[in-house]
Amino acid sequence: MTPPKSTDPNPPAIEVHDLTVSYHAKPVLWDIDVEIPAGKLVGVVGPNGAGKSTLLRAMLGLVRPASGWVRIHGEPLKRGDHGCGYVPQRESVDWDFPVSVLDVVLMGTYGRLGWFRRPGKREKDLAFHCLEQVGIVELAKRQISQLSGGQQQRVFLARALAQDARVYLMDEPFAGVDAATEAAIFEVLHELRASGRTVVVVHHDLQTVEEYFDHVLLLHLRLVAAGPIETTFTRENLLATYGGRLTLLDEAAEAVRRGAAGGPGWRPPAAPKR
Amino acid sequence: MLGLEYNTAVVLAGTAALGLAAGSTGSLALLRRRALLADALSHATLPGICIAFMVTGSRSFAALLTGALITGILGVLVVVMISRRGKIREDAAIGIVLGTFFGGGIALSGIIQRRGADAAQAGLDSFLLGQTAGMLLSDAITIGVIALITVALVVLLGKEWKLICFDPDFAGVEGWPVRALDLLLMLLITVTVVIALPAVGVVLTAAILIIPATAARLWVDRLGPMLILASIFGVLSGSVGTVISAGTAGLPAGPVIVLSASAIFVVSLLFSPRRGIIARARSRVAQRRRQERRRLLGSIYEGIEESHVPMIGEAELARRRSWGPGRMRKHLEKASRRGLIVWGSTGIALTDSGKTLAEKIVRDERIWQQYLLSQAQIDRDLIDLDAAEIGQILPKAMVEELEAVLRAKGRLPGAAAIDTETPGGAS
Amino acid sequence: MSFMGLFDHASLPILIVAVLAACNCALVGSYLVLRRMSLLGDAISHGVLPGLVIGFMLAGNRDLLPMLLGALAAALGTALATDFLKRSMRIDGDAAMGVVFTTLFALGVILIERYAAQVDLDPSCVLYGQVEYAAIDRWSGAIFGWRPPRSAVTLAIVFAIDLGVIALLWKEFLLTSFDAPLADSLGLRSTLMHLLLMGMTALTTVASFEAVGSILVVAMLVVPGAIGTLLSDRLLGVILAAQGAAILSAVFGLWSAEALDTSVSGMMAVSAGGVFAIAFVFAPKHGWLPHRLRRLALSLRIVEEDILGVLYRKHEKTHGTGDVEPESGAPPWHPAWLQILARLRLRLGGAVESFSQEPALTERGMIRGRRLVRRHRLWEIYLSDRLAIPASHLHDPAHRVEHFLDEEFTRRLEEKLDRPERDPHGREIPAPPEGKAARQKKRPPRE
Repeated sequence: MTPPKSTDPNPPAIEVHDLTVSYHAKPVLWDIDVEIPAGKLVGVVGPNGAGKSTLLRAMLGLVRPASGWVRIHGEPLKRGDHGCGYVPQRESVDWDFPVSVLDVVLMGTYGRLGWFRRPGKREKDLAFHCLEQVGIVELAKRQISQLSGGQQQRVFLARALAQDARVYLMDEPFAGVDAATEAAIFEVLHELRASGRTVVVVHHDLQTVEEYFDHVLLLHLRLVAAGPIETTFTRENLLATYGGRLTLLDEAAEAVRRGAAGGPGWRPPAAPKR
Repeated sequence: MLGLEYNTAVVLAGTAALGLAAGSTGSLALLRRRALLADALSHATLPGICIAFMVTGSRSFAALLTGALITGILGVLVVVMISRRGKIREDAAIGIVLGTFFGGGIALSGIIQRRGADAAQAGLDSFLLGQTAGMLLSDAITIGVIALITVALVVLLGKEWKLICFDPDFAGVEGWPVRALDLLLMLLITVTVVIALPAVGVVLTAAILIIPATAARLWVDRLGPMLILASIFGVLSGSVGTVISAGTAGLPAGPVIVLSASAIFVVSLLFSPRRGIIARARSRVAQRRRQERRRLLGSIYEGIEESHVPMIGEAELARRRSWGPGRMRKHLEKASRRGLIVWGSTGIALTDSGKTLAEKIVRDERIWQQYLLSQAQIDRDLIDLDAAEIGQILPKAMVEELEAVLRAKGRLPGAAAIDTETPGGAS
Repeated sequence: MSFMGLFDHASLPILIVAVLAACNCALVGSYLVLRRMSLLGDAISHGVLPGLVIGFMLAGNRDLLPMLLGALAAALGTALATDFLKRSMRIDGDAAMGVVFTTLFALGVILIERYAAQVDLDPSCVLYGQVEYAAIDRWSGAIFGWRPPRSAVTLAIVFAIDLGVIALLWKEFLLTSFDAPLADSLGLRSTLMHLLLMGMTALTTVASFEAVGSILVVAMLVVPGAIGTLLSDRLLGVILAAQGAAILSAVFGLWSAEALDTSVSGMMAVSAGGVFAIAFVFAPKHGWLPHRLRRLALSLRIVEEDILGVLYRKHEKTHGTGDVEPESGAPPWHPAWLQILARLRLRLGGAVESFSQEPALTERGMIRGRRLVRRHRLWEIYLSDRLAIPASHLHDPAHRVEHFLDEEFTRRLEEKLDRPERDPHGREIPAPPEGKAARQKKRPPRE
């Protein structure tokens, strides 16, 4: 659904309106409605299967929502305006692919380069600079299969930096990395915030949420709470997020899936126009 | 051209261009995991060839290859359609299309044969297993030109295809038309398969895409060099196969071309400097030797450290390292030749340079142990990389901290006895 | 040629060989498809070629045993080499398989072309199958005075072996196909079963190649198994359906091949493809058409319910006692043809009184409409109370879910919510139809 044009002269970094996402007709995100202010470090927190990654992918336009829309800086989500930097989960690619670390980071500049043009000296300088920022400039020539998990994560981070976006969306960048990498990523996040970027990070470690983020989104199939850490990351909200299974919600989702039994791509004809 | 007939030379050039296209396109197909879809595709072209012959009544390449292109694309679409419904997986869908379409082609060629079109039938037969001998000059030129266009496209869109092969999601976020690029790549694969049919044949065409690319991957770690090397391998197998098959009566070109490619693959498998079987076996042996050498010095040092006598007996050393006497002797001889130890009848002592080295070895080992003890959150992948150089892996501050812990326990080599003399930097 | 002609004296042996080969392949193939090893079947059936030819060359005749040993060795070689390339050399699985089986196949073709022509092995027979010739070559023994084709005897023996192994190891195959790690933990050797299945594939390929050719074996291995999975969700059902499909393909393939005067194996593969196409479209549970129809029925039900919902709310507005305006209900946003169809069904089903734009509800329609609105409002309460979703956002999600909640679920929902009287907007929750006696007075008078 195309969102209406924003009238706000100073729109928030990300607006999510009435977003519902279904996989195989089964809703996995129910009616998410949230605004993320610009220039903040935002953690997305919730139990396994809460739909954290799905929310991120919907924000990026990688999954088609059953309803609702997303606006980035007041603009409807358009493919190709390079508004979003993306750090996917490490496992999402083949690390035996025949490219070097530098090649991967250079991919972050492809969007600006456009069709047919090859990355030149300027792009390479930028890529080296990004590698320096994440502290692995000496690995530039390495083949990516010879990297450790933490180093792989840093390569993805450097690629996102090379995108030079206003909004960054990262899917579990801290998952399974060593302490040194964790510290390096943390530092980069702070640099990004200092230069006015908005960073949304799917995070799994409750211990570090308060230390790392300004804002938090508590997610469990629906939005439990969103806002500044101090007021939102409360015991009560955490209990609502992690405690007590929402049996009826799960059952209803399952009932929709079974009832629809439409297989992939099916969506109910009832999509009310307003 | 070295006494080759002009005609043969042109056919050779045509197959060489074909190898060029197959190598580069095949690499992309491989990286996009479309290798076996290409197999279904090539089998699915047979009915198209037969129908084109039945309709036009000629065996002009243009007509037959157009027919091949049509049913080939149809076959791919059917695979996509069947597997998209979810119940039948892609591998089964590939098998279904491959078998059914090829069966249809065999049946159609049977019908053509019964109609008594014998001369033409010979032409169709050559499409099954490939034939370069009967190739006309104009055909070879057509194939060559299309192959060169294909290669030009790969060069032009290399960056874009690299991106969608490696990380299609990221490409989507960056605004590249992933589906369109994917479709174009599939079309490129289809065209390459179709122009390979006359030379390699329906049955084995997929191999000329898969084998050179897989062989090239063994030698290089970057996409650009892989494309170039795969193309060279493609050209080599195409031309060698053509020459052998042309020189031997009754030998279809397809299998010969494929076996030439396989030979290149086997050579690569054995001799590739990093991933080859021989290189890997050698590096394994070298690594084991180095490890044993390090352990020898380490054991001597620890024995001396415990007994406080600057010498260790052979028996004592043998107890610490459960090596046979022959192996032990060999290691000791090597170490004494390098001037690391003094090996006398009473026992073994470390020389000055041997002592420095042994101290470093034991120190590194103990720092590692201490690190593993103290760190719950470790990057395990790092430890496998190269355990020898701690300074490159752990931050300097951390190494110093670990050293302090060891020193306090009196287990830091070179520092325990004489506190003034700390070992030289970690790196 | 007439269909019954298939069973006459000349054609019957061919039919027997064709059916036996197809059933053999289908039996092993069902497992290959279920275990997602379809392409391994492809690889093995190609890869056995050099072994087969070498066995033939060494023996110098068509005795099964040497060819079989050669083929088994080649099949094992295919599997081991693929595995080695994948595990030790870190080559992508598909590519590894592609390299190995095309190489072996090319080797096999060259061996045939160079050497086997000198003996009695016709390349096109090996590659593309010549069931007609296979049927001529009779067995030396006789059953009730009839000498069956030699390959029919071979096929029958191999079929008996495959069947015996499967019957004996039924539950082991079932478990290792379904959950290899669990099977391993229970002490069932999944690797062993894997190897056994590969051995059976090789055996079946060798026994069948005369009838269907070594390339078209793939079709007979994969297609019937795939048809089986479309028709049944149980192992035995898959196998039986695959056998049926195999027999059908063989019979129809032979008949059409004789009618068109062309290759039997080719037409068998085509027939199998045709049976697959039919199953793909018409299979009751997984077929395309039933699926489409179910979708249509579902869409129709949703539109019907939406219409009833609108009518019920309209009725509530005119007759209701509530002091709050009912929500607008659903505007008619569905495609026009669906709406007309739905209104027609409502009229025929006796839920509305006329086929007009805004008909009056009958009692039956009233009950259905009330149920829907009840579910809608209860779900709104749930979203509002339990998920703290703001009031302005309740309508759409409730609208998406209301069509899928059954009565039992609604009852539990109501209990969980402590039997609320009003929804978050203050609208009355309609009583369940069973309890309508209690609110009899609210029942609308017939117009």
